Amino acid sequence: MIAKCNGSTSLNQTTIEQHSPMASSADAPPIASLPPEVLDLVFAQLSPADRRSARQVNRCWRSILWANRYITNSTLRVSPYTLTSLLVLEQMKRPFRQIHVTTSCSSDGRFYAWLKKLLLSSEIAGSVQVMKLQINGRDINILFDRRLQSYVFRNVTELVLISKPKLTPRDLMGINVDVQLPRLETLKVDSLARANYQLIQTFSRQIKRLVIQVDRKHELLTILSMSNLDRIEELAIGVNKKAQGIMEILTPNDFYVPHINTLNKLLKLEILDEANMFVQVFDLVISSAPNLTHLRITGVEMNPNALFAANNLWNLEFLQLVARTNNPNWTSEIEFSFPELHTLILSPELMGRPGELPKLNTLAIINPTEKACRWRQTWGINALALYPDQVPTITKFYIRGINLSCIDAFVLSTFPKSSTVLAEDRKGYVIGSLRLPDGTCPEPYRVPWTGQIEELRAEFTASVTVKEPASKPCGSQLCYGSGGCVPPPVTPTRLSRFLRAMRRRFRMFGKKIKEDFASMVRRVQRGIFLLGAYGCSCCNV
Amino acid sequence: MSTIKLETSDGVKFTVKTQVAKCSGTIRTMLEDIGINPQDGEAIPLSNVHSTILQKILVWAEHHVDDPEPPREDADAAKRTDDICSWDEDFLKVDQRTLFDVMLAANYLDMKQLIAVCCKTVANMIKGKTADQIRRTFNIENDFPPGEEDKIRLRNQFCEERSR
Repeated sequence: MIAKCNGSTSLNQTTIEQHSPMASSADAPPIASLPPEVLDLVFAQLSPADRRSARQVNRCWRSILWANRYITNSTLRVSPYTLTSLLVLEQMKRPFRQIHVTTSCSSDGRFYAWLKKLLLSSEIAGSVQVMKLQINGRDINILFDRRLQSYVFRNVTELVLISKPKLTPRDLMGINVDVQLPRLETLKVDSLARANYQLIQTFSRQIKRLVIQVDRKHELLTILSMSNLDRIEELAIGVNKKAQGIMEILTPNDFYVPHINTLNKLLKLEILDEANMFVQVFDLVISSAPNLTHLRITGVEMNPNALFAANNLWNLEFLQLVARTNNPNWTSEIEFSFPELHTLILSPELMGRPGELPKLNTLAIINPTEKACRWRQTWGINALALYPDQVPTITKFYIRGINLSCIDAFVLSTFPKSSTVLAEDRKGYVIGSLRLPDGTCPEPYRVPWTGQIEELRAEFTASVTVKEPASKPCGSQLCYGSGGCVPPPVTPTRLSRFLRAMRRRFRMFGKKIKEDFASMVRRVQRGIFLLGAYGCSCCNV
Repeated sequence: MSTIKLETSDGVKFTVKTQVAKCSGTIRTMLEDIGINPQDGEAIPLSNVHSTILQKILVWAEHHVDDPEPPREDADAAKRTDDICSWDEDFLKVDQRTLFDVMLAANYLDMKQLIAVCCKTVANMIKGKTADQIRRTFNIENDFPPGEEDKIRLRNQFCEERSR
């Protein structure tokens, strides 16, 4: 083994105690000559799946990969299928930072006894920071029985309650437990069964961050009217898509003083509304929360009033307003002015012109639906066309789910040289990109527009379909979007057809445009602007 | 341009530009902190490094001498192993013994960038393989007693690594 020459060690000492690596025995595999700290550096480069197989290679590798630093980065999954014996129980007692507990209807008394032992062990109780429970009210009662023991998890900062795939009568049971989570700040709940509601109430004084998914409007209103949400700063609300026929819409009359008071404390607000529940109250909700720095709304429909309400929030650093509008009289009258805003995400139908946006560096236009979308009304693209000139600070522009016409493509090309432009279709395939380094993965240039609710939903889907994740084919090749579709190359035929159509389009414009157009043609010829499968919708390239 | 002399384990002496030699953290420490004076004409002994390996490493150092300091990486950041530059890729197209000797020497000489590139190369050799294939790739003996492997598989089930 090789010792490093430290500043304090004299040269002579280091030379004596070592033998040359070349002298190691010839028949031992060469990799055996590597000291553990170097192997450790190699393993740090591996993906979780590869680490799994590496762990099964031999004893030496296993012991390195079973070190605490790998353990702390992984999740302990406890379920009747993994916690099968006392032996496993002993092995589970390691400093995991995340624990995911699932019970099933068939779990027997032995499993609960082991699980209790595990949760009470000093290793788990002291190290866990994120606790995910996918259990119903009855099981919570069994596990954390008030009469037996008081449970303290002193480092838990995040509690996630994931609902079971099927709701059973047990989920409706109330709870009577004694669990203390002194450092809890984040609570995520993906359904408001009775037990979960009671847990929110139990911890309501502590939590700063609350992520909830609701089905009915009275559930949301009950949470918002809780009087002891003293420290709440962040709220994320998800409304699930409804079965047909059930329609519940919040009206301004549903909101009373306690609701407004809760909203008033918020610094961050996220709404993912798939049932169109908020359509009439977006502006009310926004204007009730004047301190917001972070506002993310993805809805079905939105009244343009909401844009005007948001325009009054002077502290905003992040703004996302993505929805359709059916308001026939709406034109892009609005001029956005936010002194602190750095990210602006809008939908193609609800656009505003740029006003004072001194810090804006990320702009995204998102069509969240699966339906194709085009800039039908000219003002949408007209408003966008003002951004490159008036907001020179933009470094990242991302457009998703919009079929681009030549004019749109032209506007995209007017963004300053210092910014990157990425256009993707509604399934995440790359349509076009500008000034992206060759052969890069578009991932870092995409603007993330799904919020915490989506993450919570992913948690649920992941736990329902528990299977080995397929290894991603993300190697040295380009990876394009979710489908791995590589846009067809720019061939001479495609290019000349595209350019012919562009020339026809731009003949009507003045000289300035012609010069810009010439520079764009050069760019296209250099192949920087890739024309993808959805390419140019107006000239069928 | 000042030069210094390095002496390898098999007694071969190399004359190297100081700037190139300073790619090695170990040599840098010797020169700056311990105060070995390179003008003395005395060679710095590198008793862990064979001349063939040192020669290879010096070729690498010569090529990368002007590289900027890499940005400090977040420990939790997603690891990428496909960003080895093509020169390094060709440079490391050697047999396993040479590769590991280069790694050992780079570790001894404290050359972080070279180690990182080597680690990525080795990681790429491991990627996407089963335990058995890995053993065959590196000619490693399976020293688990029978039955032990099943236990590890069991352990792998409850210990789920974050995929992000």
